[in-house]
Amino acid sequence: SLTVYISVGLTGTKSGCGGGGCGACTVMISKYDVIQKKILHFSANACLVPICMLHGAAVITVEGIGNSHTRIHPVQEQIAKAHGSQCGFCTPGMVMSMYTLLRNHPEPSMDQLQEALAGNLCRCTGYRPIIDGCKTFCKESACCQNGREGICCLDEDNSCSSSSPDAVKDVTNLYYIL
Amino acid sequence: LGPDMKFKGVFHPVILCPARILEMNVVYYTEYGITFGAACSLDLVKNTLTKAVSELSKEKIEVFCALLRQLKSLGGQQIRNVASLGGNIMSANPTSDLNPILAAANCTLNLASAEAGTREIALNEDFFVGFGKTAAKPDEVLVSVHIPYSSKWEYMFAFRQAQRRENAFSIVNSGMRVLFHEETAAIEDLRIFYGGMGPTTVSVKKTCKELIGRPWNEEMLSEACRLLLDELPLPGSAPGGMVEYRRALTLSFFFKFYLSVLHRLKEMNITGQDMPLGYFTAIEDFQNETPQSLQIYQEVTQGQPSWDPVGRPIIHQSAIKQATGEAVYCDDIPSLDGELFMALVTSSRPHAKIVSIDVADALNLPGVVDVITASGVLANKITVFPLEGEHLLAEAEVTCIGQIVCAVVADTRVHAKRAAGAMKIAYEDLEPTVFTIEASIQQNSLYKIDMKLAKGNVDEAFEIVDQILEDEIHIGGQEHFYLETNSVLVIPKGEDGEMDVFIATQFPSFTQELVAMTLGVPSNRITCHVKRLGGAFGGKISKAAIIASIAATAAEKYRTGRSVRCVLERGEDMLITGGRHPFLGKYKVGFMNDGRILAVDVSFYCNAGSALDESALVIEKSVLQFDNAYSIPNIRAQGYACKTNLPSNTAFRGFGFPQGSLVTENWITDVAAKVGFSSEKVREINMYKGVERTHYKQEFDAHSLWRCWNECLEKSAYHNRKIAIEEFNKQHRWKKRGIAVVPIKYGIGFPSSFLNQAAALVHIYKDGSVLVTHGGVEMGQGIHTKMMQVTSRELRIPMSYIHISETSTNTVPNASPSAASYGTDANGLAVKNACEILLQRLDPVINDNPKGTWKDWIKKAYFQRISLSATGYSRGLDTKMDWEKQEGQPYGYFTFGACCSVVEIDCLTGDHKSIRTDIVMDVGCSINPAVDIGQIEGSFTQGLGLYTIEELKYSPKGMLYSRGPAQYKIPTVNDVPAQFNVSLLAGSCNPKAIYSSKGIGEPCVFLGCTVFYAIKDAIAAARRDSGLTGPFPLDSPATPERIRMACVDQFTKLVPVDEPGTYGPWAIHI
Repeated sequence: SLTVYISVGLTGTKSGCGGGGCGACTVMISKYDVIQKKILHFSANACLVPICMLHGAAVITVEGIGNSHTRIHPVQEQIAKAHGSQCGFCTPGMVMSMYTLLRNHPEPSMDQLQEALAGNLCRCTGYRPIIDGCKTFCKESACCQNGREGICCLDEDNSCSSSSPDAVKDVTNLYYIL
Repeated sequence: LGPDMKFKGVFHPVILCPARILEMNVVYYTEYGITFGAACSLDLVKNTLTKAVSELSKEKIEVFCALLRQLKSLGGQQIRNVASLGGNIMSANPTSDLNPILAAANCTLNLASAEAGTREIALNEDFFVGFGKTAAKPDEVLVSVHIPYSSKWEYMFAFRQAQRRENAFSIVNSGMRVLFHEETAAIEDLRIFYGGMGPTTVSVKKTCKELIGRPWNEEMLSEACRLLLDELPLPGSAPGGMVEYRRALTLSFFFKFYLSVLHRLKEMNITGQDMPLGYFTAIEDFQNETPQSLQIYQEVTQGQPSWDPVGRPIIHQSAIKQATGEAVYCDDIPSLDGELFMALVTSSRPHAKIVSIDVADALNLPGVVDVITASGVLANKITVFPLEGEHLLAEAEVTCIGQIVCAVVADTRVHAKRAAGAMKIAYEDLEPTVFTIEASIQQNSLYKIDMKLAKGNVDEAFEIVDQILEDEIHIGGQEHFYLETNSVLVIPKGEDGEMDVFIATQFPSFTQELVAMTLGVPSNRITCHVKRLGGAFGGKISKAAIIASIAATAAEKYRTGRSVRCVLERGEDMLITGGRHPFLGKYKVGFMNDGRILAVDVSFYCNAGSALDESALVIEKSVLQFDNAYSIPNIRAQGYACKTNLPSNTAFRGFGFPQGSLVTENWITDVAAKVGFSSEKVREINMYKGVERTHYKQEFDAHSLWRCWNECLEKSAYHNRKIAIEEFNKQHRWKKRGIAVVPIKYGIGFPSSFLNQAAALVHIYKDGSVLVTHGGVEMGQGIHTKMMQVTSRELRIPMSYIHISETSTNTVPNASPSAASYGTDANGLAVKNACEILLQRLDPVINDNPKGTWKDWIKKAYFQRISLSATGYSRGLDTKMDWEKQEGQPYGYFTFGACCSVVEIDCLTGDHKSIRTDIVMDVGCSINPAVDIGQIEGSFTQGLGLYTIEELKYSPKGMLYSRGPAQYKIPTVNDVPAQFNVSLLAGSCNPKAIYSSKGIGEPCVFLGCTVFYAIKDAIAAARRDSGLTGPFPLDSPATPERIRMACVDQFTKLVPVDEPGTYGPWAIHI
């Protein structure tokens, strides 16, 4: 399967169950569709993808969208900053599900978001912070109750990762130290 | 093919991928419907149908809507993107969600073969000939599927129920289609197919035939129920179990179909059949709502300098690296030259003598280097805490399916696994075999542990109380399901018996000790390294060390002398490493009619499995902490650990508390039902008030408990919400809502005081950078982040100067496990101590140059020959428990909280949906509110899984069926409460822990029980509609099966019940 193939040197894609049930090995596959005459991008469980299915296809793993040396991708950044990564083993899969959704729908609805993440299991967080991180990309959501229309507070310097009125206010960039 | 190759070892030399053949990918509209190529992905089908539904006239889209209803929850997005329509049909799985609809809708299939050319056949009852078998000939390929439009007066609906609402195989599903004579309610044609009711998708032809011509009314409905039960005689021993539930679902679905069609006919003004208004909401499915949440942090103290990170929501130290995939886990370490892979061979018998182990075949396979059996291990019997007396590998006898018998070492993963499959072990079965708690009580198969605790005089109290009730509750076990399975890499260093062990464990010093013991070398030769874990939850304490020791034996100089890696498959991990203990709680409660509970006599039985592991400590915790938040004057509690032929259960977040206290909440709920009060009132009457003593005489102040309770009632608007729920329940017959609020008092620290210690090592380098090492393991709980915050505050430097690399036994010796919610308490004080020592040494330098920078001072200190490295130590809580005197201080302090949850259930299917949860927790002064709230939400969700959908299934022979996410369902993103609010109690402090914080890792697992009791509340409302009042039994988890069967109604009463003993059930409740 594709998991075995990419695990040589690329360890970002995690193997959680080997049967397509947990989503930890999610990658994005891009293929030219001869009928629709366009390139289709879709997420897939690498553990279920036989190599022979990938003739003429491109595969993007979590390493392919960003890293902390050059530039991290906003999806990676928002999930991390929203405290959506605890043990982190499900995170690359979550990131790739979300990344694929954004490739196809740059401003997804909350429904699409929930649908895209339903195949990814997380045992640590209870999902709430993952959704909080991801919904900053949704059109309809004000990501936190403090936020102004269309502006995500996580993007600002004086950001506040809480949504409560009595929360800490003097948060600085200090918090984003790796 | 994939699952067969992966899980059943089927080998296919050549794999063809026909997915690019044009004819198999096209979609075209015809006059009668839409034709899909067989290779079209389910996602493409879904999108095409969605578009068609929005464009076509209403009467044409009945079939498409039914398909869309199932496609929405079929698999995850990743599955739907790749899985094909043709694959779903041709794999002929009896629980396929699409086949019943396609068959009911009269779809046609185009088959092709090289010899016979193409042919068209109907997808109907004759097409599915057996499990996984169809009427297509072996040389035929499915090319395309034609799905017809519906016509006027034709209605179609689809139904399904699974253990979890989304991304889970159906238990039963159905496609139902009816055609009426024009302008009437008389049935012209009826086609109904069920899935999950036999080895294939089945048609209920006879029922349909009988009903044709009848009008759509209640007589037709009752006749249909009778006919359906007749025509679908699912045997009691049917694979998949849940037989009565599945029978009930066939009726529930038909009733929903009846209502749905009736609703349509009413819209057309056709039928005169009356139906109470509250019935029609039964036809609405639960929808995902936009999640909403609120997290309330505490303010940091006024005047805290802005550089001081303590109390602030710092993000997890390696969150960014984890999100980019750069974070290195055990199995991400690159392989070394000559590295070997180890695969485990486990017992296939629950209790047997090992007659022989034949290694010859395995050794002859390519790549195989060695096979390790018990006789090849220097010290196979374990002599170190906490596994004294157990064995690494089975010796003469196996005592459960899944016990490790031997290990195969080969050059690659594939070779090792193939050879493990080729191992031949001959067994001779032994008697007895015991699996369930009930059986082990009967046969007195108990471990010798004596855990009894008494307070007051229970017998006298039972004499004077108004009422007494006796009952029991069974609580199922739980699999840890950490996303990263157990993994280890052992690297022999080639001299003096030294070895490096890279391992995913919460307890590195134990692994070190066990590996040293196994190899017969002193501990100073073995170094354990832990970078981070992909989740642990208690499951990586004892078992990880066993696997490491076997791997170390294989890597030993005189065997292979090469590094050895072992990474368990998910199925192996679930089978071998055990999980949370199933519990049986038997209770007798004496209470007054005013709600005061005066006496409780309770016995806890846990299913420990074939080895004791930490079971004695688990049962100890349940006996000590079952009082939860309630002050009961007379108590008698006893705990037993059952010895069974199942894999040994082990530590799991909460450690007996979530089971013991669920029993408590059960008798509270029962008492409330008996005296006719609401359960929150009975809770309030019996809660600890002011400064009180527990049943083991530990004094504490319940002030914060009440603050949490009152704040939770207020934040959840409990009383108003309760009235609204009563109103809702009046208006809905088949959907019910329920609410529950539960307090918690959770003791923190290890009762064995020697574990309450920790050490740290802090180095400052010449450039001013600081390297911190401590005994805690990072498993996602953010302990490294918190330790960096502590260091930053203590040394008054920014966190960017500080680094934590790993946890290792050569930097901090003899560390306790990261467990018992005590990691931050213990290690925080040790880090603080080390920093204080360093700062004291630096004081003269700083005083010399108060305006200097950190870097100036460090440089100066170095040249002045001041040591820039210090160990810190914390001698933690003095806990003790004297079981002779029945008193002690087993816990350092208590974490308090309260939680309120609201759910809605579907009484007909047993489905449930969490609507809202409000949690208020007293965590003292949080060191990192974001991390603490992460622990609260995460553990709550784990508890929600424990008490609702997570169910381990064992065969009557003690074999675990549920060995992966396909069979074992943990909560997904759509199972958490739609509204989820967490607040940290303001103005709380705790003098017993660092910076006045409190341990919070474990407690909230138990709060998941609010969902359980809210479900029970909703079921009670449904039962009242059927005229049933008073207490009723509901075991945990509250699965769809248990919810449905507890909502007794006219349909469940029709379902035939098989006499126990007249059939062999598929699964047993252990």
